[in-house]
Amino acid sequence: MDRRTFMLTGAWLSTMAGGAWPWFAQAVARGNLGNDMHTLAIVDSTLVCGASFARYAAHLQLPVFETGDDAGALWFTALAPWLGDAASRATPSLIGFTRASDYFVLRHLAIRTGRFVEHSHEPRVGQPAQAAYVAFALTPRHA
Amino acid sequence: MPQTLPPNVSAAQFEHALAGWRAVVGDAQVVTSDAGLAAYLDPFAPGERAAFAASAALLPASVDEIRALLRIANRYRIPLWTVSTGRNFAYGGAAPRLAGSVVLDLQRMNRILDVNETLAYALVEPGVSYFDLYAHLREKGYRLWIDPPAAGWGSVVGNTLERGFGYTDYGDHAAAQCGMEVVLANGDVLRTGMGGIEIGTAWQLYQPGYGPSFDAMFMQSNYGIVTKLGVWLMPAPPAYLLGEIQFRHEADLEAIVEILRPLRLDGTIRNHAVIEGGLRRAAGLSARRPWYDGAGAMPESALTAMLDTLGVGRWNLHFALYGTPELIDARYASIERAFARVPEARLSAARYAGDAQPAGGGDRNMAGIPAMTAFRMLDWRGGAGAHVDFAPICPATGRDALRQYTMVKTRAAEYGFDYYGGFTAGARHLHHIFAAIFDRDDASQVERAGELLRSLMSDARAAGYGEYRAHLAYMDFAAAQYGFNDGALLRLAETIKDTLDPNGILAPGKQGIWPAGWRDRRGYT
Repeated sequence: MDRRTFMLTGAWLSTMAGGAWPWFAQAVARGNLGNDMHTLAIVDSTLVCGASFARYAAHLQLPVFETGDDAGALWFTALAPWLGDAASRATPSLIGFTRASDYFVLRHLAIRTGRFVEHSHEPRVGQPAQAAYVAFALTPRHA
Repeated sequence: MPQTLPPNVSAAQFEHALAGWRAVVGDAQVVTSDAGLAAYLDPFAPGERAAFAASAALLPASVDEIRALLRIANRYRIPLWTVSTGRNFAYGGAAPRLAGSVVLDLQRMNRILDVNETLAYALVEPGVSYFDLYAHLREKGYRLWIDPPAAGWGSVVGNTLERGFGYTDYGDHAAAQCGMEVVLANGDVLRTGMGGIEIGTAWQLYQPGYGPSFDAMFMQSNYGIVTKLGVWLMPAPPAYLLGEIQFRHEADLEAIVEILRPLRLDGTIRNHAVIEGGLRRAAGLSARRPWYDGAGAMPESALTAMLDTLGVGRWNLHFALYGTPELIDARYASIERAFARVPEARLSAARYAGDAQPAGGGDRNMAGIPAMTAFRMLDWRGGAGAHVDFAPICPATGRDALRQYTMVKTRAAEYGFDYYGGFTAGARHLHHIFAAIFDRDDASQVERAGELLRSLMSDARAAGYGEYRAHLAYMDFAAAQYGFNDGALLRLAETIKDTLDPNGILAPGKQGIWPAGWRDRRGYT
């Protein structure tokens, strides 16, 4: 198995702390265009496993966007312009690892464009002192 | 063929209507798939979501397309539910009041038609969000501020028509609106106020126009489809100050309101100041679980421990002053003196140059910058967070504020909910906003949230209070509470409705206004 296949099958992710989401790899594959990676990764790196997810995305050479403290602002100032610029190209996949509230906002904004469908999502509660989080993948509507 | 049909319409008739609509806007702009229509369900419904399910959604791109869609809706008597961007969350989102209605989604009409820096206004279409307008002003270098509501993704038109509010001096959105273009149910297009003059020069400058003024009639109503709307914008100030006063005691609310009111009335504080409950402030900093993970409302001891640890007051007054540094200093000194009489009140302030940007969503809102941080409230209870809001108007007196707070907090605790709320201050009234936060995947919580809202509305009405806004599920209940002279107000509203929209195609049931053909659908849910 070469490095790229290793990444896309989720084998690398399965080694991450916090468990594996093999459907991440499926979503990434759906966002692919030929040999180009065409997936955006969104992460809240303050979450447990957030940093691991960011590394996973970086290894796949995906553009990584930090939610910061405002997922809506991220959408309107970075993601929407990116998607707008890419309007002539195919819609990418969005994979993410965020707080539940940020997932709600991002999912709503993405779905209402009519360009995405929800591929998978999985909420986790975590320890009492830690924020609950959601791993999710939104894929192109017609993929 | 979609599963849900419009009421009293056969599958064959609906197919004909859909075919007609597709010919107008194109196949891609007529949504009938389950996946597509899922976006029009209310994710925060305090009950069964399907009770407010749409049968289709139409996305026109122009006034001419709207008129063509209306002709078909009139022919088949299919109700249309208009949304600007459909983000009226906590009050129904994009979902229609009457199940089976077709959503008329105006998000593709998203042009900023005019911005005038000299006269400080903008003219926008319904699909323009606060984020969009803010970005446009910054990109073009206009020295103008917008006034965003707590959730900046909302439509400028939609929020204004729902009488939403923000946090700067221009916080009363309905008051800062000037001029509309409206498509009536019969397809007629009108422009209100000075817009009646085709080559007019003052459409966005003088609200009344000549003769009767109709703008308010198209707010929270179903009399027409607003396709353009003028909003006044705040000239960018040379400087501003964001102040916070923390109060330690629950009973301080009475003194806060009594001190704040004269400062609002005399213009010392001109913005929509917010008296934020401690738990609401804390929920922006932390989830609930670290402090209390049991059933029922958070106990007093846990609440106190949380507020002390997070450095949050029991009440937290947020205000903003805009202008030259000299004027700001003078007004701030008055505010400092006025609140000094509240024991243990802690005042802090940060001064900014006019083009500086504060951090944090609430502060950014007061600086005219849209944000979405308010949605972090969904993380408070954990799970799939949702909320439904209770929004009574409160007279700006300490006695009334304390009374409403006590009523709501007590009733919320009875149903197992924390008091997550606060008061946004007009000059003579307060918008009291309480959110029942629940996990929408927990059927028991959903049911209790729904019951709580009904109880709160009954309590408030018995005490002489009414809501300024209500969720779809309670629109009829809220409207019925305005019952003077056996419901004369609603009779007038329905008389107008039947005259303007005899086929009853525009948003039946909106704010409790039902056209004659659908009046049997009224339900005090």
